[in-house]
Amino acid sequence: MGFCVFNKLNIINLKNNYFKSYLVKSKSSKHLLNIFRNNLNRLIQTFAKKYLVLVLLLFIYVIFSAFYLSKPKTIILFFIPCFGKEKLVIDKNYYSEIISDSISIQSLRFYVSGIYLLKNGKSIYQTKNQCNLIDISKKLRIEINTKSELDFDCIQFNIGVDSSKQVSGVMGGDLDPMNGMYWTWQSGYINFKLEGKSNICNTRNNIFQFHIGGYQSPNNTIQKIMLPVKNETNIIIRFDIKNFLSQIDLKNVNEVVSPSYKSVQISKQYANIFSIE
Amino acid sequence: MKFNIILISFILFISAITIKKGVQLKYPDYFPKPNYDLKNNPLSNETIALGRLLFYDAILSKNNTISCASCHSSYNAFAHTDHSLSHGINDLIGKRNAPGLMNLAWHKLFMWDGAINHLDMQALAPINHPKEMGESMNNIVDKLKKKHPYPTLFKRAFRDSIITGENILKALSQFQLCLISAESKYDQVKKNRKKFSDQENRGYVLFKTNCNFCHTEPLFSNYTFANNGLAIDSTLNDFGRWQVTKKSTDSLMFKIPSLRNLSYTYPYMHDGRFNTINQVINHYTKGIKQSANLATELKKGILLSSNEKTDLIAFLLTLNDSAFVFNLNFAYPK
Ligand code: HEC
Ligand code: HEC
Repeated sequence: MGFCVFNKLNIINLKNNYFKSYLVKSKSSKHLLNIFRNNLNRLIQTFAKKYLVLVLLLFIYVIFSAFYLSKPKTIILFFIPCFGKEKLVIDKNYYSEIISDSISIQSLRFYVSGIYLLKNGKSIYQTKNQCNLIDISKKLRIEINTKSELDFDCIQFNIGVDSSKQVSGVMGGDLDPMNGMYWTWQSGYINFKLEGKSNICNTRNNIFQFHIGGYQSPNNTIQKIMLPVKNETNIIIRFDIKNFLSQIDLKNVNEVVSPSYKSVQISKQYANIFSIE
Repeated sequence: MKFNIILISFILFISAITIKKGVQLKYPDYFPKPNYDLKNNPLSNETIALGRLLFYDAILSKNNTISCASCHSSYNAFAHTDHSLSHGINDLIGKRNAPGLMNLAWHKLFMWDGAINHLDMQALAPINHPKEMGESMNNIVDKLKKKHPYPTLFKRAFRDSIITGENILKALSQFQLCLISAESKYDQVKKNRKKFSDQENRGYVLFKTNCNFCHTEPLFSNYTFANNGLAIDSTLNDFGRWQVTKKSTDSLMFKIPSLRNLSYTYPYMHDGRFNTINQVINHYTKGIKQSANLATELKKGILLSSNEKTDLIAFLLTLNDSAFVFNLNFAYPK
């Protein structure tokens, strides 16, 4: 109904305009044109009445197809743990020239949150509320589902759990406190956890432990990382543990397990071991 | 036709609202707005009942001997009265007195030093040993999966049969959120159902001038931290809030406890050093130890005659809530 009324009004308007601009034209041609217009008017009205449902369906179809034409796209981030040039494998012995001794890694996990895709320094896509636990023995990839094809040249993400998630109570999935990435005696997520062995560590079983976290200033350890990337579906991000350990005096610094100034320093050190393959 | 459609959608709308509403926390209108955000953990009767069962079940401890209720007994307003220092599964806990659990929805931080930032996360502290994080929570999940009737109860409460750490903690929170104390004589007076005696009225006035700044009505705490002039116990060296923030201005600051149910929650203070309310009052009148962080309200000490002390205590006793302490809904589930 509303549809028809709308049409009628529109046509009356057109008629008025026509009168104004063609006032000088001859009566007969005006008359002819008027007949034509009135017929057209009636034609549209009957068509609209008869095929109202059809027209509506067409309308809906156009809108929906517009949405579906922009196909959703999945971008996958692959995190590749490395030890220098080699791929890092759990419990394997690696040699480090810097400490002139061997090193092995037992566990390595960290949170990745706040992923942005950027073009020319401007954010064009951001993941909502996503916080992923990367674990060398379980999960090394993150899928990003964008609504449409994107053109980007840079990726940005945080190593760590953002502070709003730190104080909002218990959550499931990757943020479930059962994952061993939550401090129980003092609330807060462990953002980055690395445990391994080296003879250079004068500790029980020569173990070194880095449980890096803390979300309150001045001991906030969340680190933002920006890497230039090619516009591809698979983004391969290497992180080099040899590089990280070479920045640390492992003989003296081998157990950092609660939020402190030292944790902040260490978080800055692992922030620069990420690179794009 | 049109009318029918409108009617049906109206009915659907109303039922959607009522279903979503579920269970609400019940508290008097003079209480402030709760601090706990129920949006992330909407209450339901099934979940509350499950939380209660877990709270009383020793399955949560490594050797199946200690439950939450071992240290938080309902008959003591969920405090631990036998011991000045609760003894249990981890050395950190052994340093402190177990506080009563009440009106937890209004707390901002938990523990005497505020080390825990959310009620959901609190249970992890007694459950886990500090240096072996995560491991025993997994054990609990395994144990619960095998113990009747937990799988059915979890399914009923959370609509999926998987028992997770998240759901265990949410259920524990829901039960604890229900521990609301709001039926003391003080509350009856507020609700115009009873009247204070003259002595209680005098005590109320003294309370408002000397104590209300920290032990703020109607919850009887503002849930911030303060140094109330306790001398440090050199056998414990507990520096309170400082241990969390490492700021010198937080040294020897402790969370201000509520004064509700004092008759049930003795001994008092973070280390349970005082056994009677009398001793506490004497501390405030002549035991205050001066220090850099001592609260300014207490710097000059509190002057009270012995009559005034009895008046003040008479008022404090009106904060006992036997309806809360003996509420069968909070007691051991049969
Ligand atoms: C071994 C004794 C013990 C056990 C078992 C225990 N608690 Fe506690 N609880 C304490 C002590 C002691 C404190 C104060 C700790 C501190 O301040 O460091 C406390 C504090 C709390 C608090 C914080 C109260 C406040 O005002 O900040 C809550 C909530 C709590 N416990 C709940 C629980 C739950 C739930 C369980 C079972 C999963 C439990 N407790 C098991 C001794 C215990
Ligand atoms: C400056 C803030 C402040 C003022 C004012 C204050 N208190 Fe306290 N009160 C505290 C703090 C903080 C604690 C906990 C101290 C601790 O355990 O280390 C406490 C503990 C208590 C306790 C022990 C409660 C328990 O469950 O362990 C009682 C009782 C008490 N106060 C009564 C009073 C009374 C009565 C007054 C007024 C005469 C008063 N307080 C004034 C801060 C204050």
